Amino acid sequence: MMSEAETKSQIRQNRLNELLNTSQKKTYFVSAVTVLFVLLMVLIGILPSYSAFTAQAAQNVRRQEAIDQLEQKRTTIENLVQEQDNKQTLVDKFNTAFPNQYDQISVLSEVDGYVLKDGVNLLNSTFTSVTNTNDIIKKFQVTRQVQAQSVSLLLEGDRDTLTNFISDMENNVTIFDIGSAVITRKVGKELENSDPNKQFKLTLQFNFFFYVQDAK
Amino acid sequence: MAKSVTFNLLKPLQPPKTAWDKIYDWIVDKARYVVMVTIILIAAAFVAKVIVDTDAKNKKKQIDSLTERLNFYATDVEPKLRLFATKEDVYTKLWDSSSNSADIIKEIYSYVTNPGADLTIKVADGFVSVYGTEDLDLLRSLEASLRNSPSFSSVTFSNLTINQQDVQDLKGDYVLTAVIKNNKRTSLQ
Repeated sequence: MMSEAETKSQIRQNRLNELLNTSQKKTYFVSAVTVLFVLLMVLIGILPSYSAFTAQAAQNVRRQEAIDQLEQKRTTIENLVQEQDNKQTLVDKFNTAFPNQYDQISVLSEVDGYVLKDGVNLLNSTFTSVTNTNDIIKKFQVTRQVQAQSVSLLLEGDRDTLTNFISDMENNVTIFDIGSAVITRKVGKELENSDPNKQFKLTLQFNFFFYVQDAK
Repeated sequence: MAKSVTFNLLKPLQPPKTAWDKIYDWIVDKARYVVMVTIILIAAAFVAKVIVDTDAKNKKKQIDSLTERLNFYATDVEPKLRLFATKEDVYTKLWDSSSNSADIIKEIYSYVTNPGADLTIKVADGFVSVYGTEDLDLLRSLEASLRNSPSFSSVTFSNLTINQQDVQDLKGDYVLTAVIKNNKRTSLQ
């Protein structure tokens, strides 16, 4: 007498034999099993390996992009530093022309330079208050960091030398923004006692600028 | 005693193959190619993974190194460069919008042929005023020149005083005003 388990095993054996006992059935069965096997290998072996590789490769691409950006930024900064080092004289000149705080001595020195160059006489110079920042912002469309100090000059010369003086001041690297220029001919005794080359007077009011980084 | 040798020339009889035998045959025959291909692919993927992992590690090191360097620049170098760039922009704006009075005064003097003429020229806030006390011919000529100049508009007399004696002497007190236009200076290159 066969047990129930043995009977079931025998039935399965018979079914398997039935599947393999003819050539056609065998071909179908073997093909199906092969396809299943290949699928199984793909699912448990190839796909995980492939996805692990591709995921890491994709991450590497993103990392490379990040490296390129960082590298570009580093190159830009280093080139700028290099350029600044190479043009240090120019940078210093620029910082003198547009300083971080008002520098009256430097302004007076430049004015004196043009007074000598153009052959005019400086009769008086007055540094007045720091100009209202709102006026500067409005006129030049700049930020609150830009501030200016107002200067008044009284000079004498002839009309050409005084005009040249104004021109030199306006074309100077340090920006002198002339708010008002009045050229007048001397009159009366002042004219009679005057040097023939100094018959005109110039009253000049101008602003010079500086950049206050921490201005609120 | 001689040992007897026996020969069996019959093909050995094998029991008929069971289904499991056939499956075993299939595994060691055809399925092994599938297994081999799979193993080769997995091995290749493993090698590739090792390569990309190493690459990833190197890239991470490179990113860390660059980040550290840029952090240093961000606190030490970059603010200076940014300040310089901002100042340069501001300077250009100031330059472009600052005064150009000398050219205006030169142009007015170019219309005044008499160098000793008693004139006061004032350039301020976009206006020019010419104050004179003599020579009405000069005044007429100056007015015409200013009206014809592309640098000025709205040329008017804000004051003109002439008395009987002045008419005879062709003299008078006058203030000629004009609005300055086209007074842009050359931009910085």
